[in-house]
Amino acid sequence: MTEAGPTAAAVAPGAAGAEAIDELALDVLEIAGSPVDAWAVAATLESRGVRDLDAVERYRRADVFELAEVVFVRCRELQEPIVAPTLEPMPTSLRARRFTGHFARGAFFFVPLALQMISLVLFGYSQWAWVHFSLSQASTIALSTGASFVATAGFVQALGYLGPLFSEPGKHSLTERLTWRWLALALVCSFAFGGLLVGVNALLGAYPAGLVEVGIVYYALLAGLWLANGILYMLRAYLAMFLATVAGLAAVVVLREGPGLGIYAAQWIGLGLTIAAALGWATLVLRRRAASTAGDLRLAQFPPWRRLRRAATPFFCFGALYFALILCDRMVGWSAGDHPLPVWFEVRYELGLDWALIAVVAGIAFLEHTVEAFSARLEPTQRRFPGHERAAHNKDFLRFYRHHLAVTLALSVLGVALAYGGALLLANLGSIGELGDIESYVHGPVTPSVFAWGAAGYVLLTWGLLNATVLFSVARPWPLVAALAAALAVDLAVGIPLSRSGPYWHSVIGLTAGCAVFALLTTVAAVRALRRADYHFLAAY
Amino acid sequence: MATAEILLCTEGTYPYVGGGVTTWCDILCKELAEYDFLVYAVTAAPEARLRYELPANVRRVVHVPLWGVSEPADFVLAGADPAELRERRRRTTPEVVEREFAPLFLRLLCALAGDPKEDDGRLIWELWRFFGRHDWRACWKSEVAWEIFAGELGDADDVTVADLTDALNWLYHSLMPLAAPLPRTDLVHSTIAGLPGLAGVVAKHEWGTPFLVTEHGVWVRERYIAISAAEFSPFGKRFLMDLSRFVARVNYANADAVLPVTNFNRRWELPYGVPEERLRTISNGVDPALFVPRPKPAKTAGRPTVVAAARVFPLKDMETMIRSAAVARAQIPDVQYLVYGSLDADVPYVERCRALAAELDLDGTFEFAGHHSKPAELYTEGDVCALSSISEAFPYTVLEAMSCARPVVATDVGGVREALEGFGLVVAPRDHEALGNAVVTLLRDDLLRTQMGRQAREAVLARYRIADSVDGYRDAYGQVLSTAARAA
Repeated sequence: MTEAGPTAAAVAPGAAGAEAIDELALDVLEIAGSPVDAWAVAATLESRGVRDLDAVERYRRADVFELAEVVFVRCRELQEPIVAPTLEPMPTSLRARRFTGHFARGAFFFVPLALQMISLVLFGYSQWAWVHFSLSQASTIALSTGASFVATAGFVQALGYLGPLFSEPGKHSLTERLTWRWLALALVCSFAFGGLLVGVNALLGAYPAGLVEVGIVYYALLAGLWLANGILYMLRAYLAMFLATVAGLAAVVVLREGPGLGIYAAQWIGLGLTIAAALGWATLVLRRRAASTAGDLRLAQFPPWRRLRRAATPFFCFGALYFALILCDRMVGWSAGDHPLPVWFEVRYELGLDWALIAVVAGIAFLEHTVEAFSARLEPTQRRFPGHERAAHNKDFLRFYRHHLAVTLALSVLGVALAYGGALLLANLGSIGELGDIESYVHGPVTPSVFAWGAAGYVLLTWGLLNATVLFSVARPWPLVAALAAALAVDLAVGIPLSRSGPYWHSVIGLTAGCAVFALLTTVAAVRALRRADYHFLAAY
Repeated sequence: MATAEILLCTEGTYPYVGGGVTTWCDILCKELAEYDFLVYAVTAAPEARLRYELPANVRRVVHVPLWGVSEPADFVLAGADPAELRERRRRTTPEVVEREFAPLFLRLLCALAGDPKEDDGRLIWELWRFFGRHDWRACWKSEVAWEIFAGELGDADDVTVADLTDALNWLYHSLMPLAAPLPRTDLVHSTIAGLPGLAGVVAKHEWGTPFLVTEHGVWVRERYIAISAAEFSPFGKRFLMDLSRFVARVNYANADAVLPVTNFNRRWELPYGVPEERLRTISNGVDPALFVPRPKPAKTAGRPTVVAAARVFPLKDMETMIRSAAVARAQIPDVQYLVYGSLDADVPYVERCRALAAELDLDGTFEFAGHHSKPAELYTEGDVCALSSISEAFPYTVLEAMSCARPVVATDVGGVREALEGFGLVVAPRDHEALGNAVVTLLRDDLLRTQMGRQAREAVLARYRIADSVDGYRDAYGQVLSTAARAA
């Protein structure tokens, strides 16, 4: 027998052992599927206990190798033709169940925010807002909130990428160590950033000491909240996130409605409780998973820090730039004109944007389904198309993208219509809880315009986020970062002059323009990636 | 005179995983104290615990994980100068990939397709040199590499995009030893004609370092068994076998000598192209002063006992052992089977075995006894030693039992017959009836048992001592080193 392949040793009809050869061939086919050559058959026969002795005595062949040649030929004759797998359409009921689950999970992310809004309506306060804050207080807290987002978003996004790198292969002890080290780093950097802001204020003297102290506390607590929630998000502990928020809000309500604690103290305790609950739950989960790490995986070591840093950097940049983009129009608009403080909270503007955000909940929730559906589709599609039909394979993914884009945009536009109609209805109801009469806002000069431009911007942003799911799936985060940087630049370049030459709220047009740039650039990148999906799936992993 | 350094290349064994090959490596390093060893350990994953206390003459372990790392900079190049790694990435432009990597890659694909021109190992060496200056990931995961790969291999209808992606990823990881820096030594000795042996091929071409290959099992044969039984597509199986065959051919073509531990391996090595004059069997050996005959200890005295020593995983075919215990118990009701060995190698398989033992109601008859604190004494706990493997080389467990004057009942695989002929009972693999009846034969016949045990001990003293085995390697080292010195 040569290494090149079997010689054509035929089994003479009626020769002793023909049935026995068939039996061997069927055994080999069952164990080895389609054997690649006679050597594979020889190895398989030996693993089944066939020796040279047996080849001679039972099968009348010189040795196992000669027997293998005969069996190999028979295997080729007996094996069934290989049929290419077909992508079976999923039963409708299963599709509906999966869609509902994914959509609900996507919508769930808005629940903590919704709880804040409900609390505001019912009680007049949430964990960091109060209808009776003075404009100075509201401005300070708004600035602290925005600063806390920008300071922590990069760390949250990077942790969302790094955590699964270790937890997915079962290196849970590393996930645990990474989480706490990362949290420590994020806190140090956040406090440094906060210190920088305080230092700048000390030089400029823009905010009085009393407001600075309040601002620092809200900044620190909110930074802690975003980081704690980021850990729970990385752990996929969505229910814990919800319950921690409920606990914190409940604490605020109880402390206010019961002993009548001051708003600051009540909110700070509430925020602290949410953070403690979130971190406590995270500790339990991380510890439990680390303890369950099997065998030698407990010895897992981190790759060199510079490698982790290089891998996490684009995700860090994405997070920081993303929140800078969605917040900077507020800072631009609220810093226009002459006010007691550099950034002056504008209720009508804020309500307009919150209104616009509600409009895109459905579109953003649908993205969760898109992510899951894309992942589920990856391997079956790769297995369905032959290697020489890669163009068709890539077109399949483009079709998927166009379909999901259409649904996302449709849901977003529908959401805008519903949000608009819903607000008009609410305005006719008169007073809404502690918010009072919103009719003057809904029909006023600023809020509807901000809503319109903001909703358009958020719809475009949702489009861009769909593209982001594609680009993250093929491990191409840098085009996203570049698109966000360009979008932020356009946001500022449009928003600043418009808000200075016209009404302050024209800064929202900068948001819309920036989101349009984000959508456009990410669409180009995503389509380009999907056109070469076959290559990018290789390169990504 | 400076102490000669040996690069000992292992895969999935010493010093991280126990077993026969690891025992052999440990003996080799300790007994050849006149040499210094560097261990080049290829493993599946970067997480690995040292299982052995390394002797003083093992200077260093170079650990090369193939999987569980996304690129060489994660592990084998983790200690490299960051500036150098940045320079490699900068240097590996798409133009360089097209101009310099692509031709090497095409040659590799031809080699995998069976072109014998590349069996001389020059391609392997050139790849290693190339990746000493260029970035691994940037080349293998380039569009150029993908287009070449898909273009060359993707024509048939049964080759899917998934197949091509998987196959290129397998190449990316399997050939990662070519990204690892290679220490220069006086001799490379691979314990397998497989991926670790690529270090020997490179050293041969780079420095003219002599290269020896010892085969416990025949790597390419074991790859055939494992790949055939795996859940890969037909293309995937063909591709992996092509890769395995090429790697084996390159090892054999560049080895100054191939030293199997059993003559059984020659059956594969000769037709695979190893010239007969370069083939020399050096059997394993044991320490007859450590593995000595002893009376059974109190805990097993008075009860017919069968002992086995084996890591419990599918190749040891514990299911046949368990069924044979049922056969033996039907004839000798108070027989007991004690199986000593690691239960961590394949936990689901251990559970299946336990379930089978429970199903056959063997509680009190069959026991997985785990680790034995004094391995040299475990064989003398029994009257008979059993081995039910479906694949073996020249198993230490058989030699150790023979040295303890315990007759062995074993399946006729690998070099078992070679070791046991005349001093034990050999049965067909997977035949639990034959295994159980052979055990009963020995347990019932005191004279036969005693006689076989004594003869087995004599055979060990005559030709299976550690000293005999080690002297074989000492000679082999001496020969190739002096030849290399003369050539220099």
